[in-house]
Order: sequence, then C-alpha cells, then structure tokens
Amino acid sequence: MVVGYVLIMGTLAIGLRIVQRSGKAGAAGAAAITDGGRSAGPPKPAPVAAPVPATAAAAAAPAVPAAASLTPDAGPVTARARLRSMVRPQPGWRRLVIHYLGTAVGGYLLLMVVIIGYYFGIAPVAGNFVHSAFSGCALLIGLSAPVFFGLSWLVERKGWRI
Amino acid sequence: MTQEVGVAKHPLIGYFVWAVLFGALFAWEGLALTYRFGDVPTLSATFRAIMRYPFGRWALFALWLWFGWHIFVRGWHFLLRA
Repeated sequence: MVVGYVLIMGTLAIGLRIVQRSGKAGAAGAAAITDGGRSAGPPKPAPVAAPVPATAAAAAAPAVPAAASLTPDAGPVTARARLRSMVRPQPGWRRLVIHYLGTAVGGYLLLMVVIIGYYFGIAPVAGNFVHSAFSGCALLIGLSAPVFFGLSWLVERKGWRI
Repeated sequence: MTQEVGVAKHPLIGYFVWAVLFGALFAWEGLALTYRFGDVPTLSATFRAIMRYPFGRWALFALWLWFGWHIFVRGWHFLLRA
C-alpha cells in the first residue's frame, strides 16, 4: 500500500511539474502574441483618459529584449519542442489516444489519491473500500474505453450522429 | 427466494437538503440558459473552461469515475442478486 501511494504521488508530482512548465510556456507565448500587436482577449473600449505624450509613453513602455522578438520558428528545434511534438502530435487518432490516456490515467490516479487520503485521513470506510476503488474504477475505464473509441470511429469514419 | 436490498432509515431533513442542493443546481443552470442574468456561465460553459487544462480534465474524469464506481460497481451483484 505504501509503495502504491509513493508511486501515485510521484506520478502526480511529475504530471503537475509538466503542467506547470507547459502553463509557463503558454503564458509566455500569449504575452509574445500580445506584444506583437494582436489582442489575446475580446476587444476592449478605448480608455477615456487624457492622451499621453509620445515621449512619456515610450519611457513607460517596458524594454523588450531583442531575443523576445524572435519567432519560435526562427530558433533551433530544442529537445522540449521534440518532446512536445511527440506528446501533442497532429490531430488524428494518435493524438486522440494520447489525450485519452493522459486524461484517464491522470483522473484515475487523482481519484485514488483522494480516496486513499480520505480513507486514511478522515474516515476508514468499512469493507474493502480501497481495494474496490482500485479495481472498480479500473474496470469502469476498461469497459468504457472500447465504447468510446468505437463510437469515435463510427462518428469520424461512418458519419454517425449521436 | 427474492429479497429486497435493505435501505437504511435516515432523517427526512437529510433527503430534503440533497433535494434543495440539486434543485439549486438546476435552477442556476436554468437561469444561466435564459441569458437574463448577464454573463452567468452555463454548466456546459463551466465544464469547457475547466477542461481547457489537464488538471481540470483529470478532476472531471475522477468525478465521473467516482460517480460511476458508486452507481455501477459498488454494491453491484451478478444478476442483481441482493
């Protein structure tokens, strides 16, 4: 049980680390797009404050490093970019499977962490609560995955409308 | 011999609280669908916002698993034997 707990927590920690890094990269990309003159959000009304002289506006504007103006395509392909292309490939079945696996495994591990924490930290529920959670939820995923992929195939290839 | 599954007796107020909570949930969704309360997001819009992020998808999937585990797995017996 302890080994399982450590495995789950370790996997969750790695997942959260990856999410945090991708979030930072996404925020940097959004900031770069906004700096490039394109608005990332809905259009906002123009401010009604008094016009600012050009010199004052130039002084108030943050200095942009020269490297920030480079587009991502201009730089060499880094290991992170290769990893991202593997984890997030072009739209298709491979991407669907990766997306599904990431969601299913992440959700399963998250629920197991919550259940273990609840069982050992708050209320030890009678019966084989933890064992049933591990096996029952895995059974649910195993039963629903073929249905999900089968329906996805029917919708995508056969034009089914649910 | 058939035997009904025993149901524990609980105070009526407990069921009433659950009914109020679920009623409030659907009432809020109904108000959001009428577009009379400005930018109140519907449940679908809220789920879409949550599912933009991996951790949100994990949480929703865990919620779905938890619900399905309780409804379809826990206490389930072959051929509905009690």
